Parts: sequence; C-alpha cells; structure tokens
Amino acid sequence: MSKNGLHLITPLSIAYNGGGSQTATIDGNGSVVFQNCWSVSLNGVFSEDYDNYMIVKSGNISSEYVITGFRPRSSGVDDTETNYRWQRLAAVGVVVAGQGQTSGTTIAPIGSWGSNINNGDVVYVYGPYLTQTTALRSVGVSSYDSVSLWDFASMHNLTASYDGFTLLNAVSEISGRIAVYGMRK
Amino acid sequence: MPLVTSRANSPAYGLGWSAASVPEVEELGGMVLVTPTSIAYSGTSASIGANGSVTFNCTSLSLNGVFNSNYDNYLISIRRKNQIGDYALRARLRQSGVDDQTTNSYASQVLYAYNNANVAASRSTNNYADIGNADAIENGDTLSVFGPYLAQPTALRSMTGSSELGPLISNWVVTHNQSASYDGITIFPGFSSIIGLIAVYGLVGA
Repeated sequence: MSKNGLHLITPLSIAYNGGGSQTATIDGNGSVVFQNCWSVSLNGVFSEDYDNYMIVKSGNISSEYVITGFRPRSSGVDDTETNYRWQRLAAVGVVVAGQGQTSGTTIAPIGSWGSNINNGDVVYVYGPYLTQTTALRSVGVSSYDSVSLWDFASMHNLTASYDGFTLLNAVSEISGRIAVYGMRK
Repeated sequence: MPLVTSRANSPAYGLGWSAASVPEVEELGGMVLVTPTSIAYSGTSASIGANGSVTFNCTSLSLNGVFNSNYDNYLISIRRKNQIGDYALRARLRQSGVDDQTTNSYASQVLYAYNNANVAASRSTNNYADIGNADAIENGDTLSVFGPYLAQPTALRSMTGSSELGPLISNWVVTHNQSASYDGITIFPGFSSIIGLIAVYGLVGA
C-alpha cells in the first residue's frame, strides 16, 4: 500500500518576538503565519517519527537583503553559541559569489530575502532530532536586486537532539508563512 | 489518520515575547497532486492521467485550475526532452485561460555549472520566465512556485538536471512583478516540441 511520503507537522507551540506589532498564529493545517517578527520559534516539530524534514518558507522582510537564520532548539531553548558553519552560493546578475564560514558563527543562514513579497526557500534539515550533528541545505529565490539566487549549506556541530527551531534575522522584521514537513523514512 | 492533540507545554515568556495556543488538528499528508480542471496545448498531444499528472508532446502546454485557494505554494515536477536541439524551457502564469505576457514582467536569474569547472550566471527580463535547460535526451526539473494564486508578485525556483552540455546543473529563479492571482501555468520551449510528463503538487499548509 502506498503511503504519504510527506507529513505536515503542527508545532506543539510557538513563540515569537518583535518590535511591538508582531503576530504569529498556527493556522488550521499546521503551518505558521507571522507578521513583523524578529524571530519565530516552532517547538515540537522534530521528533523520533522522522529523521529528515523539509521546511517551506515564503514572505518578505522590511529591509533589503537580509539573511534569515536558523537555530535548533530543545525544550524551548535555542543554541545561541558559536556552533555553526556554513557555505553560501549566490548569483546576482552575472556575478556569482561564494562565501563560507567554517567556525565561530551563531546562526545557520537559510535564505536571503528582499523587501518585496516574493521570496521563498525550501530548506532540507537532516537529522535534527537524532543525537548527532545536524545538516541543512537551503535553495531559495530572493526579490533582492529584483531577482537573485541564494543557496546555503550549513552544519550545526553539536551532537545533540533538538525538537524545534527558531527562524530569525539580525536586523529587520520578517513576515510570511512557514510549514514543516516530516519526510517518511 | 490519528488526531494529533495538543500537549502541555510551557514556552518561555520574557520581555517582548508572546506565545500562541495550539489547536487540535488532524495529521495531514504534506503534498497533494493537483488535477488540472482543463488543459490546452499546441502540437501533437497532451492528456491528463488518472492521478492528475499530464503527459505531453507539444509546442506549448497550459494547465488550467492547478493553483487555487487551498495552497499558497506548489511543487512542480517535470521530466522532458526536446524533440530537437538544446532550447530552454519557458513558462507563463495564466488566469482564466489567458497567459500573462506583460512586457518585461518576468525577471529570470540563472546559475550554471557544467564541464567540470565552468560556472556562470546571467539575468534576463522578458514576457516569459526561463525555468530550465534542455536537450534531445531526458532532462528533469523540480520547480517551486511561491504564491501564484495570491494577489501578490509570484516567485519561482527551479532546479534542472539537463543533458545540455552533457550534463548541466542549472538553477533558475524568477520573480514576476504583477500583483495578480493566477490559476494556471503554461510551459513551452524556446523552439521545437517538448515531450514528457508534468505533475503539480499543492503543499499542504504552505
């Protein structure tokens, strides 16, 4: 019998913050819609049911060219230490640029959004709930400079289990929708 | 499908933080194959299969009614080849059977990798979106479409595995600048015919 290969996961709870006009809600299907947030945390989306996950996020940001970042969390607490490494590949016009950070960063970048509404990323998260390091791969489209391509590969190098994550950025407010899918194993 | 009930949880509260309660929801499949309400094509043939995917051998193929209020975002999977030559795959969004051909409304950015160390990028604006490369042997695309049915600009992200320049990684992103709602999409090659299968999936909750 064929089975669904992708399951939309409803967070057990969410938490969010911002500059005062922030909102976030879990809608009837289980995705999270948020407005004017500095960060949105989804608790209980990673579990023993799945090894790997696909996160789909779309929306916009109040400033141009702002990185959206990821921090895994356990029992409502983010890892805010310098445990992240990442590699970026971007194409803006005819310019192709790579950039890497092999140590000493406190977030995993998973997208670069512009100020127009049409930004989107698909983020694959490998093994967040397992007691091992976590890998991420993000492929995205950005409205920055009209249109630009931003891909990220990130590693979180702690051997620990996480049941959620926080989507955040350093300098601006983000608005949009995020959905987390477990990939049947 | 079992009901997933909310469980007691105490998110952290602090200055400026807020938390929302969790409604009881039924566990859902995450991706739904959407059957077009109708199709239109130019060329030899196109037909909707029993599950909702569409096989084709044509110079253009339009899928009507694949975008709707049920989903914000979609995944489109295409396997295809060109009848002759290496011509790019293009697309236009459509509403009520009419393609949007607004001048320079589609901005396309591509990143290529081929022939060991060759990497290149380019950008174009047209009345169509560039979404893939192709050759006369099999190619594949996975295309994410963000917000086509919403009355806002649409974004697309395509990853192509192409036989052109044997083989070729091509990554495409497109932004469409019209704040309009679209219920369908047309795909067509730059020249000649395309042969293959296309499936449109709505992402549940996204």
